Amino acid sequence: MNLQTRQHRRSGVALLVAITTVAMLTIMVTEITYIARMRLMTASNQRDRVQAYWLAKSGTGIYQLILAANKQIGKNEFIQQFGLGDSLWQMVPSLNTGMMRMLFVSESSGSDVNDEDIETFKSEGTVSEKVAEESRAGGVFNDRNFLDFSGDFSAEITDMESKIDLNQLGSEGDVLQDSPTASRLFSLMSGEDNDQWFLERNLDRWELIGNLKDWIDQDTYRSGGLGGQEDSLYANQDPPYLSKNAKFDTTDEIRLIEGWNGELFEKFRDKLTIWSRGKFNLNSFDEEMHRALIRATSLSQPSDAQLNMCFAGSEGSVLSVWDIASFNTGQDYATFVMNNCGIELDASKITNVTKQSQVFEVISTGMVGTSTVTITTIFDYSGSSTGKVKYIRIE
Amino acid sequence: MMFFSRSNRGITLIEVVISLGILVFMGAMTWQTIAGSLMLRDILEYEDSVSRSARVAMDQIKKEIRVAFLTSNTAAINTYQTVFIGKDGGDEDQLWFNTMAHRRKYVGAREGDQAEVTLWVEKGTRETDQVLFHRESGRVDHEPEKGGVVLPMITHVKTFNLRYLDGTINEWTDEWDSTGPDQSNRLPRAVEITLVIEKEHPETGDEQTFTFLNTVVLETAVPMKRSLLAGDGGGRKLPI
Repeated sequence: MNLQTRQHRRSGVALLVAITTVAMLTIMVTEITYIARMRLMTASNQRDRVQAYWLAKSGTGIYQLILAANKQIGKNEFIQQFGLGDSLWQMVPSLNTGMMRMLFVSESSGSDVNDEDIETFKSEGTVSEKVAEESRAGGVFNDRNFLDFSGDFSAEITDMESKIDLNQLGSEGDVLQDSPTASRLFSLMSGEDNDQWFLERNLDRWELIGNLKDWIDQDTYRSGGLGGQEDSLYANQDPPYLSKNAKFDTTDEIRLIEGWNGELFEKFRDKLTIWSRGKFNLNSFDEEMHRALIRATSLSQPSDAQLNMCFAGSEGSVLSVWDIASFNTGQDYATFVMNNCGIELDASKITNVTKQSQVFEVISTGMVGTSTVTITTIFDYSGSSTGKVKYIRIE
Repeated sequence: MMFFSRSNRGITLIEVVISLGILVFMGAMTWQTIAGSLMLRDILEYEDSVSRSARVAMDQIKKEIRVAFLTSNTAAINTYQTVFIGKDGGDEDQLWFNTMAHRRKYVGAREGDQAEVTLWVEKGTRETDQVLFHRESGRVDHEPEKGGVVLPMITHVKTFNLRYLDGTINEWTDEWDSTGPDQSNRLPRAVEITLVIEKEHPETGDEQTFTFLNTVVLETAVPMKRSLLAGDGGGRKLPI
């Protein structure tokens, strides 16, 4: 073997050793980096989730503040004279810090929100990093401003007095059709669209309402003249269960009732409550609830066309007469409907009317990065100025 | 005459020995560093896995206890009963309660957001040692301790200890019974959870102890009337 060949072989071994060493080191470094990266991501997600939770709590906290002030203002006789005793929370039906950021950036000099930022907000619910950064800069108070935090929250409020309280079904007599709550619920489920919806599914509305009543009333017989035992509805379930014979404890409990476990509950859940103690605040009703009340209390059943005319806004006007109307009593309401819709109502059926709502649902969502936390809270201000938490769900 | 330049002369035995010595020394140093790094990685991975599983279990327990509830409709005990019962068993406490944190797994399932939950520690197999079990029933009925699905939450549990803050007297107690006369249909203001996991390291064989401590405030419990910091008796009255 000559010298040249020997030299060549030696260099080859050295190269191989070097490559193998570098390869091993690369694998090790890659693995360690990967593990470190995974740990960092896990920790970041955990941190984002905690931040999102507290942002959601902030949204709830702001509404607690508004509701406490609302309660104080509501006690003022001067304000009550003008029918504004329950107006503060209605002025702020929702809060969204993302929207506030865009508003502040738009108003500040030298910056503007472009279409791309608006699209990002629409699709992701959070603003772009550029808008978030600009909204944090500068301050209204000293050198910090209200939006000087990362992430965003959105919150909304509704009062329970603008919904139908199902817990009243158990204490309104034995005849289902005579129960004011049952008849309002039936009216809510009425109208041409709803008639068609129930017909397609072969569902009997009075039977479904009767099932709700049977769940909470004390007796063991089925309501609505259907006959039979209440518990027979649940005897074939796996595992079988019994009618509760007590009031609902959460709205979601309605899903346990025969016929209410599927799309029916989803369709009407926004209009149902279990917290209002049967009180109604006619001033916070939405159009669907007004329609239900008019149908339930009118002397002759109005058609959908009549009701549509009643709720049609005047041409060129943003607000309809319903938006600016204020009702203190059932008689006020009946008079207003007679004057504006030509439909005669039985005012004696419009009972339990309140001017000031006491029970509220606040849904607040905190968003940080990809983490989202939603807190749903029911506050009862009837016996407490700071609001008693009746229900809370964290998702 | 044959002439070898210095570069082609070959290497002496001394040079070989010294080279090998340096190589072995460097190799040993490198190997020690790599082996140390790998062992550290294994230890961290192992500790991570224990922490992760404990954290997942603790998160679920916290989530459920935070929204524990008791019904005000106490008349229908033959069809519906809610309880909050914590029994002190030394290092193996037990807890029965009702929560509003239930999640339906199937569309159309006849379940709401309420559930019955039980937590307890029980002897498992030789591999799992003591296991913390979790029972959840998606329907609340008159038997708060029966029904539902039982799943193991965490293995090698040495201690599962719970303490309850009584908001009316500002004192921590080891037991709670909402069906009894003292805490009748009442929730504790907060629950302190101590979870200790004792596990043998799969490689070193050493017994390792991991302690997790959390305090959960119950959202629907009656707020405390006196400041806990002010101590017993002379506490400042807080607004209700």
